[in-house]
Amino acid sequence: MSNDASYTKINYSLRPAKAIERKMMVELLRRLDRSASLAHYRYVGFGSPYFADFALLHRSLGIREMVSIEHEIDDEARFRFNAPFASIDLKFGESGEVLAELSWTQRSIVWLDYDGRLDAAKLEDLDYLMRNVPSGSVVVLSVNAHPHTDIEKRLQRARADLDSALPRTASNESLGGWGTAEMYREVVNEQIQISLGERNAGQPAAAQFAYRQLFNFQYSDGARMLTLGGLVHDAGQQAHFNGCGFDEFDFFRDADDAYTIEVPKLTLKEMRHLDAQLPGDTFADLEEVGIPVADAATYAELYRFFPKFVDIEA
Amino acid sequence: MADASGVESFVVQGEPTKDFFISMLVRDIGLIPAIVDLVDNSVDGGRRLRPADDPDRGDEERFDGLFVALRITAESFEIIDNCGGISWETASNYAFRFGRPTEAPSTPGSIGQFGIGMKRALFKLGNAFTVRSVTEKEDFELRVNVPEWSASSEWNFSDVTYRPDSHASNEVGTTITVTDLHPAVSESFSLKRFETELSDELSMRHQASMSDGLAVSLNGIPVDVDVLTLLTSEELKPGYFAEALDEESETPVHVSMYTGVSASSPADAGWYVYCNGRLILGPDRTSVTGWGTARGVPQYHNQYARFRGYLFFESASVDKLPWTTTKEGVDSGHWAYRALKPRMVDAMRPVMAFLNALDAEKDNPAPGKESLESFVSAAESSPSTLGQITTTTTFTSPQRPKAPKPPETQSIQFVRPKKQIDAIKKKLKVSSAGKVGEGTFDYFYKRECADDE
Repeated sequence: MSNDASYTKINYSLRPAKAIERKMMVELLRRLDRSASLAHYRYVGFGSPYFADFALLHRSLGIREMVSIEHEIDDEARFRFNAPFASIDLKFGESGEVLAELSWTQRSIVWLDYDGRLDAAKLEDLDYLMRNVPSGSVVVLSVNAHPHTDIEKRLQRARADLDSALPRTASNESLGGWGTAEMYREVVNEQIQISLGERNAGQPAAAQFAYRQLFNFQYSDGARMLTLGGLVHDAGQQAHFNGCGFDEFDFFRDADDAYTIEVPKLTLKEMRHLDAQLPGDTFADLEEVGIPVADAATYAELYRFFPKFVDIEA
Repeated sequence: MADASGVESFVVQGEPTKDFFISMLVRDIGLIPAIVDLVDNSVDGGRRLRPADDPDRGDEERFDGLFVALRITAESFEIIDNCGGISWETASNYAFRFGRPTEAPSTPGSIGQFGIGMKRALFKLGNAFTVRSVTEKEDFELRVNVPEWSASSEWNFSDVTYRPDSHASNEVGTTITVTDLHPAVSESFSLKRFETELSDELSMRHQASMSDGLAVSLNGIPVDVDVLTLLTSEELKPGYFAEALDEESETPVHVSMYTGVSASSPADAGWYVYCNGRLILGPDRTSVTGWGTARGVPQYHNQYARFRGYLFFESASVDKLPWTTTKEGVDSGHWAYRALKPRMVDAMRPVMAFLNALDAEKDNPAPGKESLESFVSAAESSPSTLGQITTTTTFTSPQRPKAPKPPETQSIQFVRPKKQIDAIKKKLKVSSAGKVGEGTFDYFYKRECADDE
C-alpha cells in the first residue's frame, strides 16, 4: 500500500460502481427488519472523510449507533469535522486494534471496506469478527483484487501477502484477470470456515454458528474490486432469517458466481430518457436517439441504484 | 480362581488394552508429522532400492525415477510410491508389529527406525486402512478395520491376501489407503490451507531426498524442492567439515556440517539438523543448537537473520543417530550430538563476529566500495549449493575495513531566551541563531582559551 490514503486520490461518492454496490447492499439489508428491528443494529465501518456508507445506512435503515474506524490519526480533526451525524463514534487506530476494543454484544453490520489487497492482517480482522459477532450480524469485506501488473511476480506477492493461506493451485497465470478475486474468495471462505469451526467447538447444537453468503460483488473502477459478505447466525435463529427472502434480489449471491456491476456510460439526458420508460423490458427509439442497446439493458437492471452526478455549474 | 488341586492361583493383569495403546500412540504426534512419517517409509524403500554408494549409477541422481504421491480429501488419504515395495517376509513378521523385534533385519541407513511410525500414522488418520504392496516376487494386501481389531483380543491382523506372483519392475511399490477418516482429520484435509502447510513441511523435511531426485507430489501438484545454498565468493567462504565418528565400527556415523550466511530472513535463520537426510530440527535458534551458551555466541537476535547452519548425520545404524521417535527434535543427550555441539558453537563464532560487524557498519558506514555489505551483495548473485561446497575450512569473511577516525569537530546545541538571542544578533550583525552561537563561542574562545594552545 502506498503512503497516501486512498481518499486523497478519489472522492468515494463519485465512484459509480461503488455507489451502486452500497445501495444494493442497503436494499437487501433492509430485509433484516423482518427478523429483528434494524434500529437496534449497530453499524461499524471505515468512514473515511466522505462517510457515504454511514449517511446511507442512517437515512435508509434508521441505524443510530455507528462506529467509524480511522487509521489516519493525523487527520483526526478533519474526520471529526466531516462526520455527518452526532451519533457516529470515531475510533482512531488500526482496524485490528479497534475491533478488539469494541464490545460485541449488540447485533452489528460490519463493513471492512479496505482499499488494499487481502493479506494476513485482514484475515485476522475477519477471524476476530467471525468468532465474536453476535448471531444476526452481517460481516462484509471489500478488497482490491487487481492482479500484479508483472505476471511473473503475482504468485510471489500473493504468497507474501497470504503465506500458507494461499491455495497451492494458485499460479502466476491463474491469478490474472478476475483470478485473484476468485482466489481471494476461496481464502476468505476458508477463513470463515476455520474461524466458525473454532467458535463452535464444544458448543451445544443450538449455539452452532453458520455463515450465509449474501453478497459477492465484482466491479472495476480503475482497479478490480471484490466485496464478499454475509449473515452470521446460530442454529437457533436459522428459521428467523429464512423468512427474510434475501434470495428475491437479482444481486443476491450465495455461491461462487459473482454479481458483476457494470456501469454504462450515459449522459444525464439519456438516463432521464430511459427513466421515463422504466420499469419495463423494452425501450422505444433507442436507435434514433443513439443509445447503445447493451448499455440501455444494463441501465435497466441498475437504474434504481444509479447515482446521478451533475456539475451544478454546467 | 482355583486350579484342579483346589489351590487358588492369583494373577494380576498386566496386558495393555489396545484402546490405551492406540490413544497413547496417536497423542504423541501431530497430523502433519504423522503424514511426513509415512513418507519416511517410502524414502526408506528408496534407500534400500538405491544404496548410497552404488558404483553403477553414473550421472543420475540417487533417487531419479522414484516418486511418492499423496492424495488427501475430506473422505480419504492415499499414499502411493514406487520405492521397492514391502517384502512379504518383512510385512508378515515385522512391519506391522509394535516396536522393532530384536531379530528383525535392519535396513541400513533407514529413517523409520522405531517400528512405530506407520502404525501410529494410520491410527492417527482413520478407522479403516488398506496396505497393498508389490515386489518383483510377490504381492500382498492387508485390510484393517481399527474398531473391530481394537475390540478383539487378538493382536495379529488376519484380513490379508498374499500371492507369490512375479511382477514387472514398473508395478513394484506400495499403496496405502485410509478411509473412514477421523472427523478432525477430515476437516483438516478439506482445507486448502492445510494442504499448503503439509506441502511446505514435506519440502522442508524431505529436502535432502528430493534434492537427490525423489519426486513428491500432493494432490497432483509437485511439492517444491528448496535447494539449500550459502553465499560464496572469493572473500566470503562457508565453513565446512566432514568426518566419521565411531570409525572403527562397522557402522560409522558420517557427519558433515556447513555454516555461513544466506538471505536475511528471521523466519529461516538458525540451525538445521538432519539424520539420514531427514530434517529433524530446524530452523533452531535456541540453546539446543548452542545459541546463547558460550562467549561470542549470543542469544538469537535479528541481526543474525542471515545465519544458516546445516548439520547432517548419516549412519547405517539408526541407533547411532540423535533423533527422537517423532523425529521432531534432537536427542540432545545422545553421544553423537554431544560430540558435535561444541563444534557447532565453534563454527558459529566467526559467522557471528562477521554479522556483528555487518550490523555495526549500518550505524557507522564505511566510506567507499569496500563495505562488508557490498561483499555480501556481490556474493548474493552466486550462492553455492551445499553439494558444491567441498573444501574443509572455517567460515571466512572479508577483512573488516579500518574504523573511521573519530571526528575532529562536534556540534553544540542549546536553548536561550529569544530576546537575548535577538540582542546578540544586533551586536554581532548576524541574522541566524546559528551565527549567534558561533559568534559567542568564538568570542569566548579568543579571549579565554586561545593563549593556551
